Amino acid sequence: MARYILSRLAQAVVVVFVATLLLYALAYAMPGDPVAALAGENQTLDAATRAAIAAKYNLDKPFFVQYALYLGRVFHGDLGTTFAGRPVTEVIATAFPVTARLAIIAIVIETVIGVLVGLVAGRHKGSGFDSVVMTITMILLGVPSFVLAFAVQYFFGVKLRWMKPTVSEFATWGELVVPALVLAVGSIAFLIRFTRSGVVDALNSDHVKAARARGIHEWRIGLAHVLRNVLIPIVTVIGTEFGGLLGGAIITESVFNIPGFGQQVYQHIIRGETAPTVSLVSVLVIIFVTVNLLVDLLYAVLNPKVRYGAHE
Amino acid sequence: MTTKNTIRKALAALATGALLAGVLAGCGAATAKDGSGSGSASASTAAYNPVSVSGTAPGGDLIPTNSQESGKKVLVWQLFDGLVDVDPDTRKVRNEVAESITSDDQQTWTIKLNKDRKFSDGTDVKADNFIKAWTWGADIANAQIASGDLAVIKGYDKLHPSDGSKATATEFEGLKKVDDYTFTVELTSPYSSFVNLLTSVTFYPLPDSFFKDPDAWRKNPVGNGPYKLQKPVDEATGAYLDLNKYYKGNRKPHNTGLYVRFYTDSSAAYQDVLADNLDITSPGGADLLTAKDDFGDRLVEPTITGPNTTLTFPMWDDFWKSSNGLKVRQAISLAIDREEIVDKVFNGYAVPAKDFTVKGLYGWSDSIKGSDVLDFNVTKAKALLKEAGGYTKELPIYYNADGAHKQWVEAVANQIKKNLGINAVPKPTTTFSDFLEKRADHQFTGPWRASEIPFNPGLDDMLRNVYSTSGSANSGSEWTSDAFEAKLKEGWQQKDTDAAIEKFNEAQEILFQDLPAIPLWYTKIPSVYSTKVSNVHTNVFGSTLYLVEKQ
Repeated sequence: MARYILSRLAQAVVVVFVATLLLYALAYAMPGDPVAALAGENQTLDAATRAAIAAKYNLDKPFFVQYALYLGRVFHGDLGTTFAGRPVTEVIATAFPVTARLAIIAIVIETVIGVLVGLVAGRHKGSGFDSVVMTITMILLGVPSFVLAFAVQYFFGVKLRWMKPTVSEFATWGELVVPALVLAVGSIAFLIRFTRSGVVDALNSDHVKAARARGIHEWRIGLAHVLRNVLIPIVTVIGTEFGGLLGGAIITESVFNIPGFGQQVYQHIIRGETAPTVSLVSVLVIIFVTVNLLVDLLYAVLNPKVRYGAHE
Repeated sequence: MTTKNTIRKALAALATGALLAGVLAGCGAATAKDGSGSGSASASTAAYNPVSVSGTAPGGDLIPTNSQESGKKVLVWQLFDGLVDVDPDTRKVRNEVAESITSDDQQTWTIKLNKDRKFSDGTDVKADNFIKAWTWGADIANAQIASGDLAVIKGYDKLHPSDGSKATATEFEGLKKVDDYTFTVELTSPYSSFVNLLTSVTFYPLPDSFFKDPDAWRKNPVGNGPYKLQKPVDEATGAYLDLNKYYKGNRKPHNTGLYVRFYTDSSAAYQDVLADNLDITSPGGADLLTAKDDFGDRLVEPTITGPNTTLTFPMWDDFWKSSNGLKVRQAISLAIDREEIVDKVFNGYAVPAKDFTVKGLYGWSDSIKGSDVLDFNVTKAKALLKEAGGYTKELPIYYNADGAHKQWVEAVANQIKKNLGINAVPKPTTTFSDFLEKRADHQFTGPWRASEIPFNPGLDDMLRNVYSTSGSANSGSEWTSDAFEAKLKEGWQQKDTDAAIEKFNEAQEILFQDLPAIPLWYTKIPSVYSTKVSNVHTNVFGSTLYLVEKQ
């Protein structure tokens, strides 16, 4: 197990390194001139000023020189500075907790609602509850999250005024519940359907039938034979959905004006700020890689059959 | 653009039906309670109830000579007071920090300052604060975005050599201190509009503390305006502004402070104003279509309309430079039904253009000789196209896809196609900066969309900045005309404003003859406001937020 973890960590380092190179190349190749963006709509910049600004941010150097300079700074703990003169580490420190809160609420909501409703629907396959759930999840899967976000914002924020249309500068746990729910809706629907079919399959499986024949209590069958088998793939699904969650956060944060990570990434991309963009997105890559590593390890814990490294 | 709003409203109904409604009812109530404490940062002053306005993260320091972008300007306008500003009622320039600005020859100006003005740190605003700020702003070593505005002052080329080499002087030759509160400015040539130019942020003063430690100032800017920062700007969320207790100018705030809240999506700000969660914003895109219905009399239209949207042509191109090219341009202009596009695409938030500046400026005219080329006249257009020997190539119309231009560019292309039979094709670039880069590389073979707004209330400002080589000629078309330059120069030598305006409008006649750009319309960007505020105005040359009253 320890060896497995070490090799996976080594892989992760390579993945992150390659990702920064690719990201830097993409950010470098982004069309447009960041200096022009700084000047706003009215272009009164003369060539001398333009050149001086470009030199200040190393924009005048060739790609590999820029990348090497960037990487050199990263190894000294300097993730770059924004045009506003703010260290990127500071941007991460303030924006990350906000998105973390959003993501945690979203994951908790999607796991609790998704698994519970899925279990009940699967257990009572074909019931009225099951068909209502199946219909609603079908609708929710078809609605793009930004459409739902606008609908919720307009209806509950403007028409009914049950909530404010946007989140305050503090982005508290309470304020983030509705945006997190909107963010999680697609995953909830998917997870309900996934769990439900897992339960249906498990209930029809031979080992459950055998357990029933042995007269084991339904509750025990449910916990030991059905739930355990269903949970294993669900853990993987939640792990992969997490990536989608981080991507979806950019839209959700923009609609509800949440001062999180997604907003920062968006703004630095728009301004063509290479180093901050690469640093911020790399953090997302690291999180994604870490979460997937954890999921794989958890998989081993839940499923003794998958003993990593056992074959060695 | 319209679809977003329709979808949003239609789906609002759908959302109710779903099981979501029950869940949301619970969470929603909790959210409303949590969100109400947004003013907590202001506990120090009990009555602090700031007017909240939408803004965008400034993305850079707030040094006035570096503040061209709108996100910065909104803040800089509140934090600083210039020598002069624009009176929101008369739209004329009035003195602020300056007690008087005089000149006998329109070239050497004597500026006397009011002696009672202070920065928000309590230090006096003196002649040196202007001289040093402008010198620092012009120095190439500091690479200030708006340094070009200072090029009218003698000695700029020594501080800011155009070849990119280092400055050869440390002092601004044209700036002379007479005493603590008087200084003179010598310009490179007579320029009667200098007083108008002084309204722009580039000419704001900087306090002594800035020159001692610019980096410390960058983190916590101090100015001499009606407001001061309560704490450093939070790039992610916004900026709280308190009153500057030392402020003595005309812009005495009618409110207790401002909160500039940053948004990345203008629609989120619009929803917030609808729900009274934000006081003032400018609607964009689809929201503009519903703004009148949503807000009724809580919508204000600007007194000066602008920017002026144009189709600007690549005058470096041999065909467009030729006399046939001119005829085709005239034909295109006559074939565009501006009224129809203004009504259908802009929902009335635009006015068909009559000149190369913006409507509402002092001296603006709708009947400049040659402006009939902006009429809608298909017969005349067809005749001109025939005279030019037709135009059979594809006519690309370039625009940047990151702005809301697609709809009207398509409408214009369709009209050209329908009325002239020219194959006009909209060509988007991904971003505005990509657009500028391609234009600078001469990759454009046909017209592009441009929208220009004057930086100051002088009728000549746009003519100079957009079309003249004595400005930055930023239309990018590379059109030049000696006759045009001569008319502007004549205007700048006039002491009398009306005499100057006559010359500037004669310069516009030359623009109409050559037509390097086709003026289309002046956009009207309204503001909408919440039920909590009153006395809201819009002004393109500075902020009128100081006038807003909040219950």
